[in-house]
Amino acid sequence: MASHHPTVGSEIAVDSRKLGVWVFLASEVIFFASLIVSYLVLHNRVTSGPTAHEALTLTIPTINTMILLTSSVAMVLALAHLRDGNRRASIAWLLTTAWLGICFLILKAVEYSQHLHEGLTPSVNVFGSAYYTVTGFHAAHVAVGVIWILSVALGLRRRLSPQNDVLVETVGLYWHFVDLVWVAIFMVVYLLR
Amino acid sequence: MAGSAVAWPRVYEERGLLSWLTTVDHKRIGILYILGAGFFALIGGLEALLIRTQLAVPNNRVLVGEAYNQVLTMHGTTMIFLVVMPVLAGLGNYVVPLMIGARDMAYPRLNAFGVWMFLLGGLFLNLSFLLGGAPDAGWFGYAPLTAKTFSKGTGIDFWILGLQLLGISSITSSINFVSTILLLRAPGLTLNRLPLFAWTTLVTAFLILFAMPSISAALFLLFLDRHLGTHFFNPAAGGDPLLWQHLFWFFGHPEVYIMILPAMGIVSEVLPVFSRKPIFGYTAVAYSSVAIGFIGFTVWAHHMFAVGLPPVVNAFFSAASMLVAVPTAIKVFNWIATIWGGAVRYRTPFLFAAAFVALFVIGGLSGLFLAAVPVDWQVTDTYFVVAHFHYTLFGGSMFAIVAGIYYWFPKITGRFLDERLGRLHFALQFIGFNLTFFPMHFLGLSGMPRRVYTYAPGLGWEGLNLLATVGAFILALGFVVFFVNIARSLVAGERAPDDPWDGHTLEWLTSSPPPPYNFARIPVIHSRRPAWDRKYTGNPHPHPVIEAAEGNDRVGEVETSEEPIHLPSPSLWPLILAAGLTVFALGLVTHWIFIPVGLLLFALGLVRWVQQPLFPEAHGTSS
Repeated sequence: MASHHPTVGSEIAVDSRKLGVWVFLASEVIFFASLIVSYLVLHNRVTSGPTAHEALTLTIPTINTMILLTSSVAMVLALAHLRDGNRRASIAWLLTTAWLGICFLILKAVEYSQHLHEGLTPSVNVFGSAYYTVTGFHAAHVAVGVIWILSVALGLRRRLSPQNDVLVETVGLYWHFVDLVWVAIFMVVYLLR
Repeated sequence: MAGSAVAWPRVYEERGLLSWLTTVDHKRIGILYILGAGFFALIGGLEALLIRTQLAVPNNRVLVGEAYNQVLTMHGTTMIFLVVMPVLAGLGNYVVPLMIGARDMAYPRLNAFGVWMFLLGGLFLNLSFLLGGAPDAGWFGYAPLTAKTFSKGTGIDFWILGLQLLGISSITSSINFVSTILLLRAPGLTLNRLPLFAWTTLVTAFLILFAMPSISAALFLLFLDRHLGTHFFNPAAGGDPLLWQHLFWFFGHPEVYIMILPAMGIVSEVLPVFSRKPIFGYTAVAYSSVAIGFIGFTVWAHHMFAVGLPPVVNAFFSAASMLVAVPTAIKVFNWIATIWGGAVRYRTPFLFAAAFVALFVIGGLSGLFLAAVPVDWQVTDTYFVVAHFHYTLFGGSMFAIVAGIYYWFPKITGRFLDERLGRLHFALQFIGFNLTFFPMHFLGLSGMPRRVYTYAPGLGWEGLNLLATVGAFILALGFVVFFVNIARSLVAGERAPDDPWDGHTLEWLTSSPPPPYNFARIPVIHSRRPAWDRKYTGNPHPHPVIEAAEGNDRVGEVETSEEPIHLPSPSLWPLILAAGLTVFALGLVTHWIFIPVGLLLFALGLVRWVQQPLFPEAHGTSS
């Protein structure tokens, strides 16, 4: 995204890149709301095959929840260190965040393979369809977040200065949003199973 | 023409193809949107003529069965996603930054990406005609008709992925409009002084941002149903076709306001200028747009009255739908009050804008009929509905768009559209439109179903159908005159001055056409009609001017400006990125080989985009 700073005429003093990401995330809320509502409507209408109650266990998703919440803390620290002028520490925390994101994805893959082993596929029944779609779109967002974070860390190492903290802040906004979506999914899909 | 301190990339002065492919200038992007929409309007218009030719007489055999369904589906999809939305985005792109005194949109390259995504998405959608048949399930693609069981061909897949590509275009352009209008206004241009077209563009951008993701999610689910064997809309396995309808119309109804609000904004600009009065009730007109936007999200199930929702639900959506009439009527009364007592100049833009008010009122009133559940049950899926939405979208949006094109054409090209041809165009379009669509009210009331390719003789429908077909050809003739007028004016039109209409808003203070940087010096705004004030300070005026006018100098042509103007560098990467997504989508529908090619193009475009600094030299930063 381009960088334009607000002109003097605007009452709203915010970096345009930051506003752009906020507005985009507002739109994403409706996207995930549509998916989660679809899940809620459909997941109890299983006609054959495993139900949510039978198929889902809490161990991996609980660990994953803690991983993502921890990664959000790491992201906050990355931004704080950059603002203090400590670029190396900032990069280290960004890499930590990305690594935690990768751990989440690995555990998610392990969980999927367990499901598949037990016969829960996207086409086995309407619960399987909704479950894989909601969690799959979330996981894809995590993957995009990991790539984005790594590219920002790379940029920070190469040429970008502490004045560019907005780059870390914007990817941070996205990352916290993806975390928040997971918390919603954790409650709706796993705790209410 | 401008001071030596002005430094913009050389490519702006070039005329070649590459300068257009790499442009990030909001004005060129606006022109690309409008030209693209014009091209697709020809296709959508021909489709409409095919439909009307088939329906001219009973038991006609011109276009039957599946072919009719394809043309009908593509007519609706084209006119909505490839004509009305992009032409409004194009006018917004061209005019809004000028109106608010900005040098460009907030994200120039994202803006370029948006227009390429629209053009390529539109071509992708129409490619389906050549590659195994176009989508044929109607523009709202109800499941389970769109399921693999009932729609085996690739038409529906083209429809799904085409709409996803166009959705990406709409979302990116909306983010851009929100940031531009909120952040890049000239000093003194508070929201309470914002031109009404910018107001409606802002509200529309929010509507797109909150409506589009719903259809995007629904399209993903449908795609998974068709190709991964999921069961979202498959009732046999516990899926729910109504889920599609809810997700679709949660988008589909705000979509109606997405198409009408910017049109209302155009009319709110044109009527005051040609009535030589300020808009009556500025605040009411501005805030009623916001009200329409809010209520627009609470009415979607009025498209589903016939599916058997509980009476309480129907009652709620019925009441909410009728409520929309209040802010809409506020606008209509304010427009009438604006014209009332004005020194009206009956030029072509005014004719189209005034016709908009009249025709849109008819569409709004039939909308009130349809909001009443019992009436809706009586006429659902009949030509009454077809008449209703053409009065709002053609009599409404399209008349306003044409008004806007006649109004801003001199600014965009530096030449007038011909007034005599314009009047002929207006007469043909007005008569043709009403002949085509007014009879459809009666056809619908007497039970003629929509979307059926023929009808039997002896039902009393022959005369009105023939009349509608004759009207459609008169309407088409009107558009031929319009295109001739445009072509003629581009070559030999009368030269237009900077401010041909004695305008109110900022775009009339720069040259026609404006320089790449729009304004050499960003103007300071003191009222709602900055251009008017500059010309007529001291006149009795409803919004007193605080400062003395700075003379009649054109804001775009100041000899030297204090600091050099930096415009963003041209970039090819937005086009490459959009091409990557389109090729990827093509791979999903046709041959898998396109998938890796698309992904490679996408990755190349993205990486190079991020690496390329936004501004030339080291003045700017990039992300």
